[in-house]
Amino acid sequence: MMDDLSLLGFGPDGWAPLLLKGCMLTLAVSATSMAIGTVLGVLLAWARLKGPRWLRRTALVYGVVLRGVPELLVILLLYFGLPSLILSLAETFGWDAPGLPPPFLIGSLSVGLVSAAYQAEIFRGGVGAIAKGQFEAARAMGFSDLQCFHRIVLPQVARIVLPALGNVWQFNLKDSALIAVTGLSELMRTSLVAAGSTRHPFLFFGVAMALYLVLTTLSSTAFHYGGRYSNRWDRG
Amino acid sequence: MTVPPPVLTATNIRKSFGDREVLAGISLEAREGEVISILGGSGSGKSTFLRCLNLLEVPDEGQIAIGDVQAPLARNRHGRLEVSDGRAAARLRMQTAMVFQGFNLWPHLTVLQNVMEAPLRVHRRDRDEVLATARSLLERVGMAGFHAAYPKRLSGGQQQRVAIARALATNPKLVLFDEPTSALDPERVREVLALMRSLAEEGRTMIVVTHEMAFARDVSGRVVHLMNGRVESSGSPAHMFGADATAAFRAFLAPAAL
Repeated sequence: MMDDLSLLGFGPDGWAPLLLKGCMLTLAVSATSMAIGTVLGVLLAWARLKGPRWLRRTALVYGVVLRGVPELLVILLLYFGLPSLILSLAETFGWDAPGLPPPFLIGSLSVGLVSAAYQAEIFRGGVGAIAKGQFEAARAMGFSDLQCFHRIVLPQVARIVLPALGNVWQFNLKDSALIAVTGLSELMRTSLVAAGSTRHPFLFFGVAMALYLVLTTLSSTAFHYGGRYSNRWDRG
Repeated sequence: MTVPPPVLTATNIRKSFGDREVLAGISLEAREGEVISILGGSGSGKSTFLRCLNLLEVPDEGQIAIGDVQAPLARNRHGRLEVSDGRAAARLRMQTAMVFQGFNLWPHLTVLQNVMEAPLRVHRRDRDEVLATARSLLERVGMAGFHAAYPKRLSGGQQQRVAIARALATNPKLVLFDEPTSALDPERVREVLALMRSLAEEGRTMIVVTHEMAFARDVSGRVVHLMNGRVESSGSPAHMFGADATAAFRAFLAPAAL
């Protein structure tokens, strides 16, 4: 039993530093993918609502595809599939063969691309829930589209979408575990390696579970307070 | 006495929604300080006409000028009129303000922020100056004690008075009222009408779409009766509510007289 505990410590054979680093990396990947998802999600929602017909269709198809396939498949496609395609192209044209892409970037990107598909739906619904008169009052005073979006739409949409975005964030956090397949030592990968090399899978997967729960609980609390703040004007 | 310059010139405004012609060619000129009431039954096109003036609706035909700004309307490749220059449209709208039936205050901003938003962000005026104007306007509409309140906490009449303060905050050349009292309880109607009367008396140029006959008769300088998308008759209140009124306008007034 004492052996087990020293495995989790900061000593020479302890895994604590690596596990904590894994937590940080998990948070970093999740935050990056969330940010990618938000930017792309806003653009997709705009395309669905205001874009010309071809762009509306493209955004619709994007949503159907990215929400309809397993996220692991997206990660595998981008991390292993895409480089092999580039490699065969490189051979054809006699370029230098590129190495494997950076796992952090590809991992964040794949989770972010899927996240964007879900976030787009949330933003679209949020904008649709704002009364038409809100836009008209702004336009009648000479607001530009950008000012109207920034000053009138965004604060009101934030209130509506924050709870749903909290859900997406939680999914992002958990889906980041799939990036373990690229070898990036985030929390999941680190606990896999620790479990294998120490032969204490129950201990390390249990610890990983606890750490994921800490991360999700803390962040859902943050979203709860963020939601309350963005809702302050609607409590009467 | 010289005739004041026109603030608004709208010429031959036409608008159809699908097959239904809502505006069949309406022209209207408003001179500085003039208060014009637009009356008409439901479906007569009065709100649509008002919304064409600040391009919330794009007319199918016609020209609009407010102050010295011409509405940027041009035909697209399908031959339909559309707003050809967003900035010019914004410049046109910056000369005007609109008070809506449903108030349309911004719920996420306080009363004071609602009033300060357009002069600060759109007109980019000096903050201290905007604040001073906003304070005195809120005092003027009887809402001085509500600076930090959010719109949701206010009654309909209070919201509409804040909306009027918001409309005046940029010191617009022309204020458009789209049935400003139709969503209010009778007692609230009175407080809003009293405020609008005081604006008329200080020489604001106002175009008011309304069902309030007493306001049209007592406050406005000119009454325009719309019917089926056309100006059926127009003139001074004395003329319109007197013995010379057209049969159609009398028929429109009749239910109110009962």
